[in-house]
Amino acid sequence: MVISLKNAAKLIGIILISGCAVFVCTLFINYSMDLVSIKDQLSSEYAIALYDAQVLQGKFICIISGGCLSITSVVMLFFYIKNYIDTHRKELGILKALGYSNLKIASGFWVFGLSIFIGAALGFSLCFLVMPIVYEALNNVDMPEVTIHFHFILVLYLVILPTVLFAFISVYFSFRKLKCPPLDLLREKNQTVPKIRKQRLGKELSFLQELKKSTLRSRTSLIFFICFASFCYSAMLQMSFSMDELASRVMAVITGSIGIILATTTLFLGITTVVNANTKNISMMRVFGYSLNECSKAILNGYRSIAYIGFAIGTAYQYLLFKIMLDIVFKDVDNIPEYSFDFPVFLGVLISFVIIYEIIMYGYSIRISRISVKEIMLD
Amino acid sequence: MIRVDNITKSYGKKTNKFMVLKGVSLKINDDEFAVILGPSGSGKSTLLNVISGLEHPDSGTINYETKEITALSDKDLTLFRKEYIGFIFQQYYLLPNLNVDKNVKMGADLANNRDYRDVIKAVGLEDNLRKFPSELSGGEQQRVSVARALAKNPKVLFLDEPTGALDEETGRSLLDYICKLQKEYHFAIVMVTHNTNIAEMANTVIKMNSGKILETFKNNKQKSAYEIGW
Repeated sequence: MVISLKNAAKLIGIILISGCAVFVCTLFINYSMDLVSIKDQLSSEYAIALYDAQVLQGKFICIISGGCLSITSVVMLFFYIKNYIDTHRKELGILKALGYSNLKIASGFWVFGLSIFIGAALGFSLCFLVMPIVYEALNNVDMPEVTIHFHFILVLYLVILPTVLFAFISVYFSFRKLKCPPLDLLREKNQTVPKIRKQRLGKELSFLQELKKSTLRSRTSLIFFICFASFCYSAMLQMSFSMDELASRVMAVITGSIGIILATTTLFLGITTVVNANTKNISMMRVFGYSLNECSKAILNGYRSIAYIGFAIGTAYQYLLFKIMLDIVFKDVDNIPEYSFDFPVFLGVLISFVIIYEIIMYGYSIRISRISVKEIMLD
Repeated sequence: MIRVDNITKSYGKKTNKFMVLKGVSLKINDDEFAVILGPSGSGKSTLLNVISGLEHPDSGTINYETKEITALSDKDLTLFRKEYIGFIFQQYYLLPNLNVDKNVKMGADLANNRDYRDVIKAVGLEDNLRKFPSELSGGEQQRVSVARALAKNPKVLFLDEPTGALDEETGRSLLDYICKLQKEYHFAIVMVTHNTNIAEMANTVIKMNSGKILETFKNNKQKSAYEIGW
């Protein structure tokens, strides 16, 4: 079989994102379930209001963050499978030509669902490791103390079911992708008609500008990833600073760390794919006499504006999330500080984002400079 | 004029070292059509890569007129290739997401050539400007790569087995295009091939084997692409 267990381990992006999703969901669902045990002990109206707000907060964060991360995991899974099929076209084409059915080949793709299991199991375990610290921070003096209980049903819903579901999605998606004549798979990728159409004749734009545009359009999923990476960085880091003031330091550290991990992983995954996919083009441009700087700019610069759009969306998202949380969820709870847009934090996060993004891009331009002109001949 | 003096080139290290070029010297004049002929493993493609500045030789010198390229840094070699060289490979290597017009523009922009569509017309692809490489036949794709190489107005056109992936009719037609374009645009041609028939089209034939030049001779009469055997 062309797909092995090693392939699941390579899906580091999905492992991290699903890990973060399960971590966040386990933390808040477990806390919400444990909260139920103290419901009968609540006597004052204020304590009941606080209880309701905390339950709602848990649901809210689970749906918003867990949902977002789960959707991203699905998109990333599709991306990995598509990428796998693209890079193993010939092997898969030979299998089809030999008479293997689409279902028989696709059934091997269940292995990709294992990446979700690894991520979910890690996120779940890590969550129980940090749970005592988080509970301590979330416990309120106006309410009875909430203690940690292990709920087996969470293992089923957050680890086992997602694994099965993602394994099924992997098989189904690859089955759909494999529905083509074997010859289509046996042909080189550049011998298939690209989806980009309607290129105008070249009077308006230079070749490098055209290349930048077509690089951007050729893989739309990467636009999503770059946007998502900067969104995560912007939203979660700004949230982290606000949480430090509004909630607790522990929550701030957790949110900030998740943001940085998600952003860097997704950004690296996205840009590495862009560079790998363009190795031959870069090599050909170098043969013709285009400078390294021109090659790097044409391949990488198109993503800069996408990254800043993602950053802006992240800023708006975190602001609205806090506004809704404090104005709706905690509206009946006293002593909740006023929330307003924190411009200095925004500026600080933006500057750090610009610096990190440019450093990463500089690193990739060095990687591009190492692509040999002879790469073109290594077929 | 290109002057190559005593070039050596090896791959691998220490015990695995393999000498591919063993002191090769040759001269190629402006507007000349030179064919480097030899069996697989004779070192002809390596020689082409070294002469065109894609690879550094271990020793020896290569001069384009008075410019010595063996001592150039990678950055300067890139500038040199930009100014002097056009390349055509057996596998075309067109950019798959760009149409014919944009692929040829890749070469044209390097020379600020605004009349690059004339070259597209010259290779008979003026009706395919908006088509993508995948929508063209092998011969048409190779003609795009010819147009792309010529759109940058090279002084020397290097071809590495350009007809290797083409059938006889398409191969002849491509070689015919190249010869006609050479007369029109005045550039030197250095072509690597193992097809002895193609050598009859050249002014100069350089026969290689085992990393050495066995023989260099001039053809008294150059044949056209339709006169040679295949």
